[in-house]
Amino acid sequence: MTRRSTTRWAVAGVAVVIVALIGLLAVSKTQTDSAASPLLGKTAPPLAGKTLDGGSFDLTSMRGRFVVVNFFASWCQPCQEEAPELRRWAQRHQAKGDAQLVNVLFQDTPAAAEQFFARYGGATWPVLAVGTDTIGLDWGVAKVPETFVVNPQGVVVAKTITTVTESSLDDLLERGGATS
Amino acid sequence: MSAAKKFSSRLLPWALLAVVIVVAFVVGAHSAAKPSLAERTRSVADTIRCPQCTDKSMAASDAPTSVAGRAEIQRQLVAGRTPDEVRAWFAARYGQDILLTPPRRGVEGLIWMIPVIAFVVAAAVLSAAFLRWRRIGAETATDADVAVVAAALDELHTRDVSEGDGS
Repeated sequence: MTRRSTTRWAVAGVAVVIVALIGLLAVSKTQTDSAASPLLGKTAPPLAGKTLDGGSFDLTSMRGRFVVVNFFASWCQPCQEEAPELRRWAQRHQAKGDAQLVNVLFQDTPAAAEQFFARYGGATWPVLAVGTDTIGLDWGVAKVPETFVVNPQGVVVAKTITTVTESSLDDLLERGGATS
Repeated sequence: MSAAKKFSSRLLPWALLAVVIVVAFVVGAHSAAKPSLAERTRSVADTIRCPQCTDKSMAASDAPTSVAGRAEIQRQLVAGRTPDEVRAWFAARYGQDILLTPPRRGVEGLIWMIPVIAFVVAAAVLSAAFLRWRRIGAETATDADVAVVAAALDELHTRDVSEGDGS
């Protein structure tokens, strides 16, 4: 083999390797959907603690019904927009008894949360407001609002990072396997 | 100088260099103080992205999530988890994108191999070049080469003499 053909083969080999690497990286699975979560399809992380009204809540006691877990903060504009929608949704499903809303405070104070709910007619559902920083990490929450749907078996079946409405929450539940 | 002596005198500096490197590594590894919990926490936090930021690590960010994240890292290290286990814990909740170091497995793991491949290829190319140069340097003139050079020198000499006579 001549020196020139050896060089040509070496260059061709390097080019093939570079193209193959670029191709592999291009087709590799990337997380483009910001609402994707590694928690989907897995048992929900622990969610328990004192509620804003002095009671207590534990997600494990909610088996048998759908639970919507909504992370929020009083300073968050989208959270303020979705609050009345969440309230309507929670009241409708509380009456039916098929699904439960739980709010979890994220980077905010219980006092601010109380004022927040007072503005929207109060919360008739559990609101976890103390020691929730660890809960946020456990659920992989980066920003608010973030909303998860946990099915009756305790598995996380849906997540959204957009502002929810009463009907979009029902859609989310349906996506998670609920029948309307 | 005998071949053995020549060989050993050539090898000696390399052997001494190897000894110095090994001793430096051993001394460096043993004399370094065991990192404190705060240092270990920071070291792990350096490799995890702040969930709320775009380009900061948990160690470099003062965002509330990063503060809570650092506390969680410390808690897990105290509980006996290894740095890799702590990183896996965050990746299981936020996805692989939360890690600032590429994973060592899968397609992304190939990125770790590129420097190794580049080093091996460079070493092979340099070795081949050195061998070729050594071979060229060791080549001796054949009788035909000597005859050609002698003829050329003769011709030059003759031309010089004839030009000298003409002046």
